[in-house]
This record gives sequence, C-alpha cells and structure tokens, in this order.
Amino acid sequence: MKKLNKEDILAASKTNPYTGDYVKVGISTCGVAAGAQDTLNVFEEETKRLGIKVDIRRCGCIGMCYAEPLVEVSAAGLPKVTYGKVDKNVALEIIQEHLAHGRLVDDYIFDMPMNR
Amino acid sequence: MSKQTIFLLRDTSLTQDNTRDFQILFLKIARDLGVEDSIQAVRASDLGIYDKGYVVKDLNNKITYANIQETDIEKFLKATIKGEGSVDEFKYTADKCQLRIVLRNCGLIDPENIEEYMAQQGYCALAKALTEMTPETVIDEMKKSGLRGRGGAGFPTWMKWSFARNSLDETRFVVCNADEGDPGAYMDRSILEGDPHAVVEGMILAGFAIGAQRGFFYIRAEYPLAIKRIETAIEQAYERGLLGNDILGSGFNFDLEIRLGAGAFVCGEETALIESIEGKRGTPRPRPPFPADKGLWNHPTIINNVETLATVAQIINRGGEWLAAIGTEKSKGTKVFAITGKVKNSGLVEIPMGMTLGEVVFGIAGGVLGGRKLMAVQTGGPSGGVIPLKLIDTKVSYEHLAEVGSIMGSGGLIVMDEDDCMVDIPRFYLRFCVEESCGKCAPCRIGGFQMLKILDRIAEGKGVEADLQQLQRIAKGMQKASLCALGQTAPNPVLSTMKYFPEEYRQHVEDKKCRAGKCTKMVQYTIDQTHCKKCKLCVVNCPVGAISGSREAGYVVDQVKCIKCGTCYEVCKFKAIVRK
Ligand SMILES: Cc1cc2nc3c(=O)[nH]c(=O)nc-3n(C[C@H](O)[C@H](O)[C@H](O)COP(=O)(O)O)c2cc1C
Repeated sequence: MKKLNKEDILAASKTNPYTGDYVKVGISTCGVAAGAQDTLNVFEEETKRLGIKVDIRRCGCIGMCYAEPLVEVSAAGLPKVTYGKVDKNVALEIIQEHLAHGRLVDDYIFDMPMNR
Repeated sequence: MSKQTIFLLRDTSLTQDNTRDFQILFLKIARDLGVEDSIQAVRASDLGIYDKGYVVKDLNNKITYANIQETDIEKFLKATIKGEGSVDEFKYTADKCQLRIVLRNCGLIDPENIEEYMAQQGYCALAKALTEMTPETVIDEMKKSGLRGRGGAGFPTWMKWSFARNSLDETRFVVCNADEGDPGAYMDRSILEGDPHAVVEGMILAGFAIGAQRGFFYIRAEYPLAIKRIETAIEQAYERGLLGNDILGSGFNFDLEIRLGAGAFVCGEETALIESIEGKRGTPRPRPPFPADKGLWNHPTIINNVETLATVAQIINRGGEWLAAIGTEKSKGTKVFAITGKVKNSGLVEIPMGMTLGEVVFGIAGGVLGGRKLMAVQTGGPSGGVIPLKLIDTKVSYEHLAEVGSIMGSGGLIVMDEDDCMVDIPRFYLRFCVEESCGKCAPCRIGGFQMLKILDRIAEGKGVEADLQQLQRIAKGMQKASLCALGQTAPNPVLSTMKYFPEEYRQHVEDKKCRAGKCTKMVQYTIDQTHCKKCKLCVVNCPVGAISGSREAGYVVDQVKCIKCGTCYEVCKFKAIVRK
C-alpha cells in the first residue's frame, strides 16, 4: 500500500464517507452485551431481502449505555435520528416504517443535547 | 414524498408519562387545522430534558420548545407550520450539556476503518507536528493547553513530557495506560473501542515530542474488543506509513506494540505497570526515580492514560489556547465520566470541567432512578471519596473535588440513594483494595486488612466505640507510609463517609442498626399481622421459600431460612413487612 504524505492526509480530511442512506449500529462491548450483533444481523438480512438500498454501518459506543443497542438512521428526506433499545422487533419496525415508508417509529428515539 | 416537519414529543416530568395523550391531542389539532399531512409528530423516548413539562423538538429546524400546555398546541402549530404568530416564548436551550472532545468520534465513525477517522481530521495533527513543528513546540502547545493527566493523579502532561525530553538518555519509551481497573469505570474501554486511531495518533505525537523510538499499549486482557480494535488501528497505521520508519518523510521513526495485563488493579499504577511490561511480577517500585527519568528497562518513559492521549491530537490541531479556554482555572478541558449506580441514564458523559456534580447527575443523567432521593455520589472509585447531597453543588475539577475529600480519579461516578448504606459502600471499596493489594509494603497489606476487619465487625453489629478511632489511626498510617497510591488512598472512602455520615456509623455501633437494611446481620424481617392482607405476594416472591402459613393462621418469616434479601419488603403493597 502507498505510504501517505501530508497532502494525502489533508485531502482525506475533506472527504465525507457518509453519503447516501445508512443505518449505523453501535458495536462495542456495551452494545454487544445488549444484543447489538443480532440487531445488526436483522438490518443486514432484512434490508437485503426487501431490496431496500441502504448502507449498514458500524460504530463505537456513543455513551448512552442504558439505551443500547443504539442505531442511527439517516434516510433521504428525513432528519437523522438515533433509536435506542433496538431489539430484533424494533429493528423490523424501523425497516418497515422508517426505511420503507418514511415514518419515524414512536417511543424509541433518543435525542440528547450534545456539543461537539 | 413531500418534505414534512418532524416533531418529537415528550412528557418530561419525572413522575409520569402522558406523552401518548399529548400526541393524540397534537395530531387531532393538526387535523383540525388541516396541516396533518405536512407534519409527523413522533413520541420520543428521551430528549435529555427533565421536568420541563411537555417538550416538542422540531427536528428539521433543530429548535426545542419546552413547557407547552395542551392549550398551547393550536397556537404552536399555527406559528410553526402556517407562520401565523410566534412561539418564541417556548423556545428552550439546554444550559448545561455535554461537550464531546475526547468522545467526539465515539458512536460516529467506524472504529475499524481508518478512512472514517481521517475524514474527521484524523492524523492531521501528526502531519502538522512532523512538518511544521518541533518536539519543543509540541510540548509548548501542551503546556498552553493546561492538560492534566486523566488517569487519576492529574499531573500536568507537558511537564512529564519535558522531563523525558530533557533526559540525557536517548532511548525513551511511551506507554499508554489502558489497564482501567476501577470498579464501575469503563471510559477508557469505550474510547479504545470507539476511536482507537485517536489514541494511536496521541501516542505517536507523544513519541515525537519526547524523542521516543518505541511505544507500548498496556491493555487489560479482559478487554478483547478494545485489543482487537487497537491491533487493527496499529496495522492500518503501519500500512500507510504513519508508524514505522521515516514517518511522513520526516525522518522520525516510531514503533507501537501491545502488551496485555492480566487484570490486577495494582498494575495500573505506573511503576507496577513498568515491572509488568518488563515481564516481572507487577509490584510498585519506590519513587523517585520517576518513570520519566528511569522507567522501562531504566530508560526515560512517559506513561499516560488513554483519555489523556486521546486529547493530544486535538490540542495540536486546534492549539493549546483552545483547550485552555474550557474549564476552571486549574483544570482545563473536559472529563469523561462513567455514571452508574442508582441513576436513570447510566453511561458515559463528557462534560467541561467546572460543571457541578448536581448538574451532571440531574441535568445530564436524568436524576436518581425511580425519582428517589439522592443520598450521595462517589467519585474516584476505590481511591476516591463519598460526597453527600449537601455538597452536590461542588464543581467537577481536580481542585474542587479534593477540597471536599474526594478525587477526580479516572472518572467513575456512582450515584447512591437512601437505600444505600454508608458503612457498606466503603466496606465494598476497602475489600476491593485489600484483595488487590500486592502485599509488598506492610502499611497497605496489614493496615487494609485490619481496617476491613473492623468494618466487618461494625457491619455485624459487634462494633465498639473505640473501633471508630482505631479506623482513623490505621488510615493515617496507611496514607503516610504506603509505597504507592493504592495503599495511600484506600482509606479515602471510609474516611469520607465517617466525616459526612457520622450518625450512620454511630447507629451501627451504638444502636446496632442499619438504616438501609444492607448490613444483613443486623436486620430481621417480620410480618405485621394487623397490616397483612394475606395476598401472598411475599410468599410467592421469596427466593428461598422462607415465608409460610395460611390465610387463617397468617404468614410468618422463618428466620433460619431467611437470607435477608429484602424482596418481601419491596413487593408488599401494604407495608406489612417490618424491617428491624
Ligand atoms: C492502584 C493504582 C491503579 C491505577 N490504575 C490506573 C489505570 O487503570 N489507568 C490509568 O491511566 N492510571 C492508573 N493509575 C495512575 C497511574 O499510576 C498514572 O498516574 C497514570 O497512568 C498517569 O497517566 P496520566 O498522567 O495521563 O493520568 C493507577 C494508580 C494506582 C495507584
């Protein structure tokens, strides 16, 4: 692989890897303990089966451990939201409602104020 | 699909949840106004705002409105959707909220994908340091930032670095302390798992600043996922020439490897950690010499905590002054806490230094579980202290926490309510320290054991007045004479509870009573027949079948079988279970 130089690093800092619709599942120790791997599998299998075009991504822990598994959904035409306590059934609902019909799912959205 | 305005709705009162009714009304009024197709009104689970009535958050425009009455909905919808009138009076901005510097990428990027880290200015600090800066100016920037170690002691990071930099010995090492042994603390694990490249970049920068050739990650073996992600990160960095020889063509060479710890608390102490990396038994060495002077294999070594290192790249990117502008006079930047115990939202929070403990517990973490009364919070784990409710306005900073007899520590924050016993809690921490003492020095080995024996006696209802003075005496000896901070700080939880809750110790010693019912040798559960409604809830729920009887004869607790778990006390709806 090519060794990077300064220009490569600066160019990379201007890229945006988050284009298109995506579902991001928190896969770290606390998430996995709460069943995040199953949740991730449901998203991967079901979106494929239904032919929904969406990237399934992974990320670390955002810190809201009481609400794991956590899933961030970004779909065209809708603001980005974070769902918490997403077990298999909630995952299926998110696919059906949010991804397929553009309707947000009641009772699972966590939206905490945070400055970055 | 036309673009709709999305409203998140939430009843934020701590005692009830009428979000569903509010949503039904909200949607009905929207229909009456003929705007139902241009909105979605979704029930949220948590908006991070508490006790502000009904809160509505407009997700498209990122505006939050609080304290909205049912009678305000029509006005609200007219203003926000139809543009008739104003709802500025309901606008709400959270005054206290998290500030994510160390955790900025955690939960955002894929930790196993270096491209995603690089898209967030990853390795820009390294490029800047290697091409535009010298080791001295890097250390200078660290000095301006005022960053102090996040591993517990709070030593100024730049100073440690400059000691090593100025050493005559040119073989130098950098160590990342990822041993994280405090019970209940897992900030470092989350950082390693969520943003491993930030720590790797911090290590390389530290290596450049002090002129080291090699660095070690010391990670506890209980963190397999963190180890895997750091391994991946190191591999990716090597492949791209960010580690190894002639990094970015600067002539600087740096190698990184991982060493696993076997889960001994004392191996988090820097000199014991050094012994452990050298392949010896992990026991502390006397200091001085300090590791920055004589560390690994007797060469200058800087040891920094995960969180400390994860802050470095951003200091270099944004400049020392940027960090120095956040926090209090003596404590700069942010601190990550792992909040656990009797708290609604347990998890990780990152707050600017200077926020109060109360703001953290009530404002950010949602308050005490079940709306109960807060009794105390504990910071600093087994080396820290218990801080009572009356001091809840204490600011989070090295200096303010020390003033009230606790420490910042590595970032454990445990919330306690009135069901917690202020003798039992320090007993738990002390037992931990006694079990984890390496035994090398007598004050810690013997002192800790003796203090624990006294506390056990008090908890069993066999304590005497003189025990309290004896605890103080041994504690002093341990603080003064122990070889490392494990023994020096182990008495802190005991001393702080004795200071703030003397009446609780007195009850245990004189009245042989434990208010919280946690010291089980002193409590007895019986059934008050006049209040008992014979519902059998206690009988069904008792895990050991200790309650028997009949509707006619009444029910009794078999004191021999009873394990004093308190389940009957909790499930009884008629207060017929008596705890004495
Ligand atoms: C018993 C004991 C355990 C410790 N455990 C840790 C630990 O797990 N992680 C850590 O970073 N520091 C730990 N420390 C503190 C280290 O000795 C050292 O101060 C720290 O790693 C320095 O890094 P910093 O300057 O970045 O805080 C421990 C200290 C003692 C006495």
